[in-house]
Amino acid sequence: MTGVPQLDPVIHAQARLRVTASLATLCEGDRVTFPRLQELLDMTAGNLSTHLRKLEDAGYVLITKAHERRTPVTYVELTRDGRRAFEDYTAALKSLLGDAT
Amino acid sequence: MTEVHDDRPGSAADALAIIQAQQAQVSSAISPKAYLFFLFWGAAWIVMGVSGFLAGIDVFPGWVAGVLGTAAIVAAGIASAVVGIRSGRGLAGQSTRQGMLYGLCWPFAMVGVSVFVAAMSAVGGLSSDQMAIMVPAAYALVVGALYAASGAVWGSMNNFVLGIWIVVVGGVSPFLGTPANLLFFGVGAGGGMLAVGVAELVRSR
Repeated sequence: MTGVPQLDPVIHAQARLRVTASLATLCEGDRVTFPRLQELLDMTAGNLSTHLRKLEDAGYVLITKAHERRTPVTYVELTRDGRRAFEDYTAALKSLLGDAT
Repeated sequence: MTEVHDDRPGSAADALAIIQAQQAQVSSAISPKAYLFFLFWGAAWIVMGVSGFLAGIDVFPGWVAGVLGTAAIVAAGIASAVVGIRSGRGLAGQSTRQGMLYGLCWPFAMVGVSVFVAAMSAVGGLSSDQMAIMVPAAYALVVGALYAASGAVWGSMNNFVLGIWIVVVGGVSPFLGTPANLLFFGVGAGGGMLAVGVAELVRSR
């Protein structure tokens, strides 16, 4: 965490930043299946689940399992805390860059 | 738990660039490309209107126009359904449901208009010339209203203006008499969709 210590360490890692940014693109209250998220990110299943677990541990991501036509489906969505953390993170980046927004 | 190697973004600018690139890619993948719908349906309406007009001035028999028009509608309908379903894959939740329900308004409204115009011929006893005046107007009024509503809900001025234009085409076309109304319907409403489709396609590049 050199240089930019005030940035949320949970989000401030390339892979989790991409995961969080993708989930934040969905409208609030929307969720995406694990395979579609994997496809949107072009990440391996193992890599994605490891990062999702970190985000879930921080309370930023909610993972729900459902059954659709007897097939188990895993849904991923950003929690309210996760969305706020992402907004704070982007605001911190912009202030670091001297952007007055 | 597996140890993750956290590759941190090089700088704040890098992090912001990652966010922007990722969000642009995701939103383009999950929202159906509106210009595809405009291009499919603009082409279909031009085929319907122009073939109806050509049949009206006896270039070819009416059944040829019927076959061409039906083929154009079926092709555009299938293409739209494929585009809509593909972009919504793996998504669930409130806004996804909103989009899906709006999408379902189309087949219901179109089948409703088709049943209505069929009844006007079978029960109402309208002649083929009267039908030729009424049918395009009926479709244009409903389609225009649906486009305008989508523009209002999703904040797309293009959709809104195009929808109002199609309503105007629908309302004005009967005054031209047939077969001129068919040409106006095809080129006016279909051409409007193609114009918006091409404009959005260029903007998205």
